Amino acid sequence: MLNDLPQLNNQNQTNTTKKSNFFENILYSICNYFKSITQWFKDFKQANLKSKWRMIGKFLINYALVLFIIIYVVIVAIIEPRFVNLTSIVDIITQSSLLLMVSLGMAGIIVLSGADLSASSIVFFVVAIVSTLIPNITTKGAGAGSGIYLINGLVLPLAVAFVVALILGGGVGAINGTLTAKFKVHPFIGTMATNFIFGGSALVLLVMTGLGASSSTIQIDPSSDLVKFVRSGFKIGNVTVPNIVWFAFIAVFVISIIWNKTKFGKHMFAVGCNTEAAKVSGINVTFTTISVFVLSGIMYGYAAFFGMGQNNGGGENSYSLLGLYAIASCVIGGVSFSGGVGKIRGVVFGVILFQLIRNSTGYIGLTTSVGNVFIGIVVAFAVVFDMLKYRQRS
Amino acid sequence: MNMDIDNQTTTNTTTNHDEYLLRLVNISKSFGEVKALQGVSLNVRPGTVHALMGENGAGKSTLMKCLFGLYKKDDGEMYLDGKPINFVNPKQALENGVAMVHQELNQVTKRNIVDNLYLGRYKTKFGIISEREMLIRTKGLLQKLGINTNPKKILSELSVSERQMVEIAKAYSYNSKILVLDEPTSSLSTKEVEHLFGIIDMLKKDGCGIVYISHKMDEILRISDDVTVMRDGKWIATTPAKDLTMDIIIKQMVGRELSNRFPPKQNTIGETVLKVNNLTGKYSPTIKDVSFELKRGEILGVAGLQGSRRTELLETLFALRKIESGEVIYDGKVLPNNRTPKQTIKKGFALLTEERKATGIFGILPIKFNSTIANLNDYRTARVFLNDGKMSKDSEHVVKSMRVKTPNIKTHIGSLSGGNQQKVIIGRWLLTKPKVLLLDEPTRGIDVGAKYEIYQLINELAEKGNSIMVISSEMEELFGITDRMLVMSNGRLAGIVNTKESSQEEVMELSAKFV
Repeated sequence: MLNDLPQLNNQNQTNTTKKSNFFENILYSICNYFKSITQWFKDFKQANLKSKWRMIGKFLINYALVLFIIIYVVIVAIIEPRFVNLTSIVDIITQSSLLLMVSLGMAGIIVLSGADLSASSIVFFVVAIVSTLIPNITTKGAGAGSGIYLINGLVLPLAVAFVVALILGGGVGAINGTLTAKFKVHPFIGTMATNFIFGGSALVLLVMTGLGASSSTIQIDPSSDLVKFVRSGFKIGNVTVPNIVWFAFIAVFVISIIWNKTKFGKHMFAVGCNTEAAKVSGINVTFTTISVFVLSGIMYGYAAFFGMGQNNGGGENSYSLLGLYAIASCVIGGVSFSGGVGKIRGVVFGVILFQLIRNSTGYIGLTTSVGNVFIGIVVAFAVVFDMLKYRQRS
Repeated sequence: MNMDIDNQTTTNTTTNHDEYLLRLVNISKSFGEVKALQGVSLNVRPGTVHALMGENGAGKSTLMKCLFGLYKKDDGEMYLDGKPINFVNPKQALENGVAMVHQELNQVTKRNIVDNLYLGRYKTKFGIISEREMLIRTKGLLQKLGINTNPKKILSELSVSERQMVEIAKAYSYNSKILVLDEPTSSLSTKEVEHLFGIIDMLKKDGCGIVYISHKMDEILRISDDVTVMRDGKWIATTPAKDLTMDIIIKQMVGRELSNRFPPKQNTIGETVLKVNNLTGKYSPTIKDVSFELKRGEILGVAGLQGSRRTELLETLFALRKIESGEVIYDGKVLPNNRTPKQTIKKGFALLTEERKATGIFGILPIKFNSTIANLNDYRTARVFLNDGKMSKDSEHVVKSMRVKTPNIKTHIGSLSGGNQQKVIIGRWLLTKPKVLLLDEPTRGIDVGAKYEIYQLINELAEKGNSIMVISSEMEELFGITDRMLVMSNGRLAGIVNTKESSQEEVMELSAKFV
């Protein structure tokens, strides 16, 4: 030990001279992943019978969600074989996309052991504002081209509108974050307040501009650039995979890089796990917390922009439950409410399972209400399972 | 009646099972592949203190948790008063006369003392909780045990040692036949330890059997009647305390001889690196008007009683606590008083906190995360992204060089023993290449072998020109490793002594200066 210790200080200096770039870094992680898989098989071959069972058990626990999805699909397919066709699969993926974008934002807040009740309102708020900034907005019944604009005559190009959506979302997120981090309001309460504020503001705005009129529904012309862009995509056979799916993929990639490959990501987990220890380790807890909220706000803005295209605008009802669905998906995906634990992989599969259950009920002759009951059971089960998993660890 | 039993047991040395109050026979327990206990036996006579010793991870706590119903034993038998027992939960254990004071306090900190004492067994009349009766009983109990605290006080307002006493009072209030104390003195001051020993004497006279887990040899030799030593989950020896010396116990515990408890010092003291002038903290409890100098390569101890705000001194220096006035000059430059811990770390400071669980570890996260979290700047590539490979490498290095016992770096730190957790956290700080290390009770709750390793490490760091401040409640430890000592008393600096020229008496006297 004595001889080893001094190296602790020296070793780093020799390492810093060799700089590896970002892609090498990613490649390294991917290689490591495959290495760990082959290592698993090697270990499995060498293990005795008892530890073989234990390894299988551990595998089942770690991949329970994926296995559950597979089992679920098989059962539904047995009841109604028509369920397994390209259209319904693409449907699930398409409909998952919007929820996934919101969930990726939500997950960060849950890692901080909070919850964001304002997600739906932020999305709707951004939709309400940005829809008055882009071309080809029509009120119900009016002809194409006669749009209503927030500022008369100001029509932003799509790319700029996109940035505005992100900034708006991030701004509201900053308010949530400040309430939580600076004023120590419990996120549940703070975001409940902003939920009312921004949900209400969006409706007021719609009435003021006359955009929503009485129905509080925004309609974007289906022939507008945004709708066309988001809904078009490449074809597999005669089924279109819309572009929104790719943007969901991009979001997954970017967020997983932020979570796993940046200082900010590590800080987020540290704060979620043990705030005091994080402070002692030199982490700016306030800044980290606010940043997590800002990041989730940006994700809501991102979701709002593409959701608006996918839904032709849409009304309050199209977005009002998104936040709760996102929380449910994160919980199903194993993002723990006790903080500090969560994986992007889990969030993705959580969203997919959530959407899968909702979409499949129709095929097997049940109503969506029955689907809701089933989702509730899965959420409860996921939490119990999570606790068991955690207990096993400690 | 109790005296009779006492006389009988001390005169009768033949093995007679009836004389034992508690018998644990061949207890075994495994966690996965780890054999935590292998056929361990323990016999406790009534009216005696039975010390249970061993390094961290030797299985002492596990054995007691099996008894208390927290763990399910794999194999073996237990008898209380000759009757076989097998508690499935702590409630059952408590109801049958087995109480335990845990190493880590599990209390409802937002409720008052009365609530905590009666938690799980509220006194009711026709289904309504009778607050008054509970209050009277609590008052009586605290009085009997000589604890001077208002029973209506909220626990979070009490000091750690007071909370510890409340926990002991709670265990006592169950009228248990067997009382297990797991490291009860780790957060108590000398005076409070005496107090505790008084309570233990009282219990002995009542005919209770006490199982006493501790690392502190002098305490063990003083109060215990029998000493059982465990090592690596196995029973090593049970010996009457009067036949034992510190050396024999250490030999039994580590399986080798530790001739000297403290490694030889070879550090050379250089010029002043840190100068503190009239440092005063903002929010009470805090320090007042503390001035001292810290030199290059020096090990500066911080002595004082519990509540003398030694911890507050280090935390104020580290800027974890707000500074009201005063000056900290480091390397010739005045550090701003409104700095953040982050900025202090950048200057080359590191703080090892006292409460490992609360402010040190990220329990559910892996060792890799825990060892690298304070040093993330080093792993950045392209300014933003972290180099995973390098993080793994550094983490592996911490595990190897600090001799952390763990399957791999993906293991959750919460599942390691206290000593190993401490090593990981020290490793975390060493990765940041600190110049001034602030260590708050670095060896608290750590076994003898690991303690020696940590002393060596402190020496080594000092030899390399780092400056170290170390708080310890163990006087011998301070005298064994430091060059000079600050003595704190009630938030103020009572004096600075040269370790070689000072005595324990002088330090004790100074620490009572402002009380």
